[in-house]
Amino acid sequence: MLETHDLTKSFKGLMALKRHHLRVGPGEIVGVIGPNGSGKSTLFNLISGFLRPSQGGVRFEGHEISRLAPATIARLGIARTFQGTRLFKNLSVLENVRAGAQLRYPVNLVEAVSGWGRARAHQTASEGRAWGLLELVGLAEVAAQPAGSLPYGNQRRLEIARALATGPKLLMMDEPAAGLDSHETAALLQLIRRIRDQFELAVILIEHDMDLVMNLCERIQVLAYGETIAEGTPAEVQADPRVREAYLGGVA
Amino acid sequence: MSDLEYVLQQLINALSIGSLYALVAVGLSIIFSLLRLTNFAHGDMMMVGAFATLFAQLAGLGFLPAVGVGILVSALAGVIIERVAYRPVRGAPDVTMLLTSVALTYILENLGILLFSSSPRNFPLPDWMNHLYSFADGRITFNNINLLTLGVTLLALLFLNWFVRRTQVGLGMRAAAEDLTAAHLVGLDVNRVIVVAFVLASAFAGVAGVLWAAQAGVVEPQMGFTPLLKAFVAAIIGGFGSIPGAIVGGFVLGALEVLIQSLPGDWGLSPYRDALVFALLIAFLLFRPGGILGVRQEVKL
Repeated sequence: MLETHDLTKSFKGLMALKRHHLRVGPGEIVGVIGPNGSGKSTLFNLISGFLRPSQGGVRFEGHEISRLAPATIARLGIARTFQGTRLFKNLSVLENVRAGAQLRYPVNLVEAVSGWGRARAHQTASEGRAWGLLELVGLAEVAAQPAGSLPYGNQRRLEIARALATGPKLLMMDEPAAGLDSHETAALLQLIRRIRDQFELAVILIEHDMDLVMNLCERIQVLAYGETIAEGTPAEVQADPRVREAYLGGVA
Repeated sequence: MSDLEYVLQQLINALSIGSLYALVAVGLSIIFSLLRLTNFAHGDMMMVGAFATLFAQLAGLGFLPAVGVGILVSALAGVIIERVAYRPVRGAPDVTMLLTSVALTYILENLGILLFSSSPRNFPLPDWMNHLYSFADGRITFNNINLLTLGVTLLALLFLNWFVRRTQVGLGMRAAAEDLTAAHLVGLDVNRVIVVAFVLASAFAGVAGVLWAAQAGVVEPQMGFTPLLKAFVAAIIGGFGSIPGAIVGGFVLGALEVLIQSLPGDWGLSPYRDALVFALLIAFLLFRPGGILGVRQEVKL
């Protein structure tokens, strides 16, 4: 369903991502790992339309999407969460999810002001969808609180609910476990599995937490300095000498 | 007793002028919150609204329908300046957008002078607008223009509050104002949100333009300049980019101006009213840039 082909990005001569190839099938959970600066975030920004490739492209369900605007890509069914969350902090928890849901229940200005046409039906529907998602991530009780007042782990869950509200077929998560304790990480793993099953999503995640990646992902791709150095099942990747070198060499 | 009457009279004056400032400042704040753009051409939307009302009346429309036309035309003008002038420079450095808006102001005002000449024109009003209410042997007086200014402003602000809090498009506006990137990401049609913001802001400016012209009795191409500067001060005093801040700032500034003017004559301060107001602006920028409401001035990445 998602395929990057020959995807390359250079910043003023620095190759952030080199001839990258990745295929993600429906319902698959794929992890992208690698040391800092290996091109993981560049990859996400290319797929979600915040960056334009220097070469190559991204196909989603057969369409080339690498020149489309982020909002258009979201509409096609790719949602993402950010490293460190990017919520509307002064909006309430419910409003954050509704902001995502309105993509599927659009209302125009005349309808919004007059209450005619789709306004009521769509407003009710988007609110219903938002409540359903808040139930799913366990935040229904705090729906009226400002998003910025939630503890960090819950902000993460809220960002996932907001992403799901846009009705994605592919969910990209940028370091979803960063800053979570082991208990919260275990809950996150359960949540990701549950939403994959319930919404029949494909999931790509960038993650440093190896426990999460190895337990959750069916397939893992390893990047270093913009190049793909390994790809396979968790066991295969763990056994790969180049991966060990990239990690140990980089850190030690 | 006469002290109380004096205070009441000044309070009426303060509310009347303050609500005009609030009405203009709200529009500045809405646009700033979305684009980090100080829209100096906002004052010219007042001019557009007032002139459109004038010409609609000259074309034979009654006063109220003519005002309706004026508001529609100023809203349309807002959409046009967004599309023609601001959208092409969106995402450029703040300074580029600022200069664009200054340039746009000059273009619009000179266009106004070219089309309508720079001499003020009489702004016809129906008699009922000037109807005077007089109390306490004429020591408290106000007319329907004062009442209407306050009433219309309150209605406009209530509408705005309802719009941004209760409608889906308003939710989109608040979301986009907080984080434009995240708004793109959840698939919000940011262009539409921005157009709606310009429609609202410019329609408000059109209303303010008509009220301003009604109080002055005349319209002229540069009529938007002074109220724009004052509204800018009001928006910053209250907290730039925040709607409640603009409202608070507008009324505070109105009250302050009236207070300065009503100080005893031998203090000799009233001629320096505008100087004092702008000194206050500088003081706020230096010591409390978030304004009275303490709006966070975050740097966007």
